[in-house]
Amino acid sequence: MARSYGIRHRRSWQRVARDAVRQTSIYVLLLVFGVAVMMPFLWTLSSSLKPAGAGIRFPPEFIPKVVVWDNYPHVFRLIPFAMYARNSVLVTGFAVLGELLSASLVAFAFARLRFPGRNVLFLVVLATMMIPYPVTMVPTFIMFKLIHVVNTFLPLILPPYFGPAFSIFLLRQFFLTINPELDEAAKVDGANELLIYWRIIVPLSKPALATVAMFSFMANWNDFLNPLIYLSDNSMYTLALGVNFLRSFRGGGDLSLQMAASVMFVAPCILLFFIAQRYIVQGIVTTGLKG
Amino acid sequence: MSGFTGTGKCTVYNRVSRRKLLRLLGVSSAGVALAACAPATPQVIKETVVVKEEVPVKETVVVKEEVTVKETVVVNPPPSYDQGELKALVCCYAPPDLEIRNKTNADFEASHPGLKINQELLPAGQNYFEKLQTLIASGTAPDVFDMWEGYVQPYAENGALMNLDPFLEADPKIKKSDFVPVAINGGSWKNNLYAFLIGFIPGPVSLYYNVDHFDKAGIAKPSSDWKWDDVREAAKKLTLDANSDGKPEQWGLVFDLWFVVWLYWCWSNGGDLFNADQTKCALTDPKCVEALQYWADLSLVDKTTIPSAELAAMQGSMNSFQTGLVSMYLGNAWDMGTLKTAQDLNWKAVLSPAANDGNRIWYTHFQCWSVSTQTKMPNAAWTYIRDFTLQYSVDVMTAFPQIPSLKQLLYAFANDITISLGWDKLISLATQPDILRIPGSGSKFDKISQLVQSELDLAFAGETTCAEAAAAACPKVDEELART
Repeated sequence: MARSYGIRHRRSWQRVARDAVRQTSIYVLLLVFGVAVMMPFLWTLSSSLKPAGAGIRFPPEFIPKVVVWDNYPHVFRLIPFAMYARNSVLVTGFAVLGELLSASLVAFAFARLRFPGRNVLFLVVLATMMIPYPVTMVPTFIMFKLIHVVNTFLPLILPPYFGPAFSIFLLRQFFLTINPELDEAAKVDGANELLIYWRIIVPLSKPALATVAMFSFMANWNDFLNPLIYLSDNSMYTLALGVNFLRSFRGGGDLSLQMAASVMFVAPCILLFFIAQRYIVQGIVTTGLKG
Repeated sequence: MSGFTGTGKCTVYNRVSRRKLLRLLGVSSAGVALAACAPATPQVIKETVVVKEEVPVKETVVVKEEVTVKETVVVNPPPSYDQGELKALVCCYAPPDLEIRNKTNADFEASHPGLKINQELLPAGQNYFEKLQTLIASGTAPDVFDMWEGYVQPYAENGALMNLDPFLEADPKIKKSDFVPVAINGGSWKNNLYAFLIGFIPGPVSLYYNVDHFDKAGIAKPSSDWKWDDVREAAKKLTLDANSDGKPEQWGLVFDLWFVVWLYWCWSNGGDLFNADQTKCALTDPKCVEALQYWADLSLVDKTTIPSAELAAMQGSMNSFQTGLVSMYLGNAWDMGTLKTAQDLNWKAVLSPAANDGNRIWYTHFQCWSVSTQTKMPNAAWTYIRDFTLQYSVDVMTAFPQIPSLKQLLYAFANDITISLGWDKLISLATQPDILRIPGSGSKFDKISQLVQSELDLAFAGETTCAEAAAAACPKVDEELART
């Protein structure tokens, strides 16, 4: 009995030890991978605090010998950073709102409504993802020119209101996972399609909507080419465009200042990710994007 | 529509349908709206008194007639230039440049009443041409815009640029012979001028060197008269590998391998990328191959330059020189601005070395204006680019020195900055024919340069010889040249 207990006890310890080793290995591996992935950002952060010219020393100094906090306020003195940031917030905010609204409505139709040619139409929507942007760049510009909205924020804000294909696909996949019996129950209670969308589908789709919002935010916040093409007035430039004024002719310029501006530029994306992290991961897993 | 009346007579009458009525209402209200929006015609009722000459009549009676005529006179803008807003698209400005541009524009507006310059500034980068192409393709091209070397020919060929020759011929201030030869050659296509050069600078213009390294090694510092062999010998002496592990702690020389540099090698050594009529690749010419192999051997045989893989890790040649790991750097004009900010680096510069036979032919970087064929204000556009160039190319010297395109402005290039860099010697060189070039093949050059570059990358990495690289590149280049 005692012997048997001893063996069991030893085996239990062995299992605990084995689990601990496995867990530790996984954590170490993840830590190494995480640090490797974070390295460029850490280098950006470190370079943003270095004196002028020290950002390009080789081998790189990961911890600056002299920390120059003044790089950050100096960016504000060199370029109208706050004005560019305000423009970016405005454009991105309205664009994300439009994408969430339009993509979810279209996805709801593809997931829930039955109508002739539904699958063909969905394929057509998906096919638009295969058209490279340069192909549509000039015709789209001409269209916006004809309605006299070039050099306004509208060409940057309006397109997401017409249902971006990727977001439609992503949301449709998620909506298909929601039990249709909920719709039936709502119909029995007298709800119409719009009410079902608003009261049932949207509240249950927070993870997928958060994912779409995040992707849309990233795309619009970082968009360089569209603001470059559509905006002519410096006071309307977005941050993605504005921070490039810290570069000099044919590249170059003070790297520390460029890095300081870059850190401030990416900060909202990182902040948003941490805030919505739980929803985003859940959304990616449940929409089949993972793997 | 027909109707039947009680009298038994068939009468035809017009009854307006609801649709017709709505259409009529729509058309008339649109007409009223358009009329309301239309700008008032600039007309002035002018009372003119015409005094007719005294006319002798047969009966020797003199009649003096006075007639009052009311006539409508349209007030026109001054005939010398168009009035309104002139849109100028500018690429890649840097903050010190903005002040100079704004002052130049303000002065121009002050001396040209009724003309306003709407200057759009874009940050540095190749995306400038994506924007320009979109604007041109959509019919909203700016009146005047920045042009770069190599882009003049394709844009002119596609009808996007206005021929400036008629303006130049009629201009009272400047004539074609006022330009240095490269300004006319570089801005022309089929013997017509399409780009008005503000200034230009050769590439790679300088041999930057670390003064401390030369002092420590006790060898003569570079001069603008140096030849390739001088650089090679100095690089050997300056490359230091104290522990003999094959990884020097200090390298003699560094350069970026890109088309500007390898064209300078080929041209200076008497070769060329293309044959005379630009129909065939000439890279296999022994002079070209010799020049390319000479520079490849600095890395492969002498081991005095940083291998390309390590150079990438150091973020390019300029950065490696700036770190103090390298003694000499074959660099560009714009590196000067960055080097000024380098701390703890005691550097100087001379002109890039001549080939061993004394020839030195550079690639030419341009800054120039072009006028759009879509402009409604061609006279104003011409007046602007001319006056802008006359003022700006002198004022910009302290911020970004470049050789002015007009001979009468060359004096401005000899200033403290250019003298300290050894660039003042370029003034006499710039007026010589064929010292400064741009490659041919127009819009195809971008692709051709990539085709050649990919082969040369292998050669400079030691995987092939330069002769093999040239032999591999030429059929691809020929194919591209033959493509219509």
